[in-house]
Amino acid sequence: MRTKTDMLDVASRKIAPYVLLFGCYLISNGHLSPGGGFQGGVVLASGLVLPALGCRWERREDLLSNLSLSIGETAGFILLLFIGIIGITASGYFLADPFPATARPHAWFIVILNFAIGLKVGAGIGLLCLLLIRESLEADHD
Amino acid sequence: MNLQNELPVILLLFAPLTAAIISLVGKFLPRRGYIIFSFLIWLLGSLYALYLSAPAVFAGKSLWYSLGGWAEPYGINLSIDGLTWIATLTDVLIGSAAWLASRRYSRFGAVFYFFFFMALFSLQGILCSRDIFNLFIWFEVLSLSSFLLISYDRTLISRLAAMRYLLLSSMSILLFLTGVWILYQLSGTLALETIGATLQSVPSQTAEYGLTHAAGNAARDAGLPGAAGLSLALISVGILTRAAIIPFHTWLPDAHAAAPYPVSALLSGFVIKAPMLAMWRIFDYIEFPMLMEGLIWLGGFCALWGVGAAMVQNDAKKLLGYHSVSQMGYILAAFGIGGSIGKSAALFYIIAHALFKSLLFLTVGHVTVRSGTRNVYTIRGLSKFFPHYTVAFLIGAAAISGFPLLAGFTGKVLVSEALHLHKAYYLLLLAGVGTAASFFKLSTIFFGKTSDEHILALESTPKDHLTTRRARIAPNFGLMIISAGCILMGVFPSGIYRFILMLLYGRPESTPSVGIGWYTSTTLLKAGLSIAAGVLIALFLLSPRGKQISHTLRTLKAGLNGALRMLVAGSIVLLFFGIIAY
Amino acid sequence: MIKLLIVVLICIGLWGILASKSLIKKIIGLSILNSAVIVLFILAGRIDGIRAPILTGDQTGAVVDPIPQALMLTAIVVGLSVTAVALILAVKIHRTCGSLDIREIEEAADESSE
Repeated sequence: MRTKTDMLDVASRKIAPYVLLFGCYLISNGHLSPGGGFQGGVVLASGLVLPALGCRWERREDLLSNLSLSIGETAGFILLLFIGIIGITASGYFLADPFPATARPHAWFIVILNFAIGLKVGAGIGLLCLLLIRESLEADHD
Repeated sequence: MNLQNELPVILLLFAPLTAAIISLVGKFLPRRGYIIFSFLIWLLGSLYALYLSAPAVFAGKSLWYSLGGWAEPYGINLSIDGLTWIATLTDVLIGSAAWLASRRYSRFGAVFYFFFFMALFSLQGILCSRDIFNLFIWFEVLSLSSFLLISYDRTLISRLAAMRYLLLSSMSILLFLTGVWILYQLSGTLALETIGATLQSVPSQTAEYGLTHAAGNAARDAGLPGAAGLSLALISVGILTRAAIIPFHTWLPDAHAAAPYPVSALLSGFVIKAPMLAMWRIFDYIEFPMLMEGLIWLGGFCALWGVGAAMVQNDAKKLLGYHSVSQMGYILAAFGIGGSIGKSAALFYIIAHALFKSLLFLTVGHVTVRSGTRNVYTIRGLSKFFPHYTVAFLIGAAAISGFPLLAGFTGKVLVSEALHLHKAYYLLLLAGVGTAASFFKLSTIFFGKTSDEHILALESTPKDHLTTRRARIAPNFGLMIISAGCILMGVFPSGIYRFILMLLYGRPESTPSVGIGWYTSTTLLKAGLSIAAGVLIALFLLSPRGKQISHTLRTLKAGLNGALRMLVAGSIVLLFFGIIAY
Repeated sequence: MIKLLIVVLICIGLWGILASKSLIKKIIGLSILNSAVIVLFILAGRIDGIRAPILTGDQTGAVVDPIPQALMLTAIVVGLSVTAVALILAVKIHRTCGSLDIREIEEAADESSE
């Protein structure tokens, strides 16, 4: 088992916040530029995974535990369902746009959806990768 | 929103989804009451939806629901028509029987039932969907649920079987997607009805917005009808892999053998048929005669190959799995003939096969679990220990071999009626003989003298068997209903046949009336001869020389690499056929 | 030109799945095949020089077709889930079997089923 170098450890932990920031940018600007909920969520997940991959065992920090990621994922899903059900009460169809047509900016609904999807995807994929990584790291060190 | 028309569709899809969510929530609850609750929600919701939609469907109309309010051709449409109605009824029957059988074991917890109901949800989606990309989504949800259901037992074999199914089905669904791409390029839309209309050069009302769909318009102006054949061939490769037709069938025997037997019953009973019904739906809108001809031959060879491989198996569940491959060949051949007789024969056989195959899996599965082994040559004399299961098994085995008064006999009569003018018919006759042979061989596990080590295995109950009275009665109830269905289909075939025709083609007055001789001397003679020939072959297979030959043939099994290469070779052949034959 | 690259990607993916002995390489090949089909799909409707599919003041002019992009987003998610399940199965097979070589795994499976 090759040890991880200091450079890898420091670099991954310093870059991770910027990756997370970029993910948030993608989510919030999804209605105008390429990006959106899923893409931003995946970048968020990679921001969570990067420190786990690069850090050394002695200096590992569990920024978000498996349980909190699981809660985040469920929260994102429930938020999505909730938004869809609001659509039913507003216009009669699941995920219909509840905002009136003259609201400005026009894309509020897409922004909210992007946020919910980004939360779900980021937490979900992050949880998936972190479960495997943490399990293998613990197996290696036992 | 027109609630009365749309409620059945929504209910039909929401019932299994709600059951799945309740099962998931049940993971955090201390007691196991949620299992029954979720099942009841699914069962009652689906039955109520069928009841609500029955008046419209029996009158020949179909109920439509557009997702999100976007009508065709922009939105996704879901509908219940006659085919969906009867297929959902079969699905509810098989799913209930599988659920009742799974209640025997305590190891099936929240996660199992979540994926079980997600599989049922995606099956429902495949039946209701009228949009080609939506079909892709449902196929993928179905396969994801199946991977987890197949590998539920966590043995090496089940994981390997799930991995094999994963690789094969993912490769083929990518071909399906490429076919969808070509169809989208040609017609600019994804809704099946509009694709069909566009390809048949009937003007349809697309592109009414100011934004133009550049691809669709360009392709329509250029006029590329030949590519539609290629796309249909690609789509069929994707679907036929999931329906387990040769040469794409290699995942099925291992998967059905390694999965827990309620899952096998559901898989063989309905999961391999839903893709066939999806193909039916697609080919309803887009006609392609030469491909149908190829499908008839493919079905015939599939039936023969499946039976040949089944006869030499020593594992009981693998034998049943290869029979599923073979019977899907029957269904494919009947479907290929087309027309009212061919399609109704295919549907009749789909229902019949769902009934007797799930019956067989549920009985053989239970007795092999209790015996501790699945080897057909070593288990004997189980009728003393499981009298009810013996009766149910004999009904199922007789049905699939073509005994009169049972579902398989009438199904085979109908398929013969559809196919008797086609040369591929003789392949199916031979396959019928082989079916009788292998089921005679399989039924020997119930007779004879049990060896001492088996008696020991049978007297000890496995650890996760629940021995409450409810757990022991529940599976028998499911078996009874399915046996009754088999017998019903054999004793009242013309009524059921007329019912199917009415569902497919509308009001009773306008259905084509075809007189089918169900119990004539010719059909009975054919059945009798094939069963007799089958018994002779079976006696040969059980002799030492026969066992030797079987052993050599069994070792010719293809590994994972071989399976993948067969898939690629088969798809190249089918694509070639699609290109040159449109 | 791009279609040629897609064909190359498909061939690489197929070669990865069919010719590799390691299970992980097969999964990588499947993932490459998936990406190739996704890129193929997105090319539909893309013509040089036309705008992104966002409504601004003027409604004239051609836009890129937004449907393939939306469909392929779904297809990417599905491919991701399938890859995740495949990887977990591979990890579990490796735990039981000790190796990822497909021949050794099949031998072990045959032994345990005899």
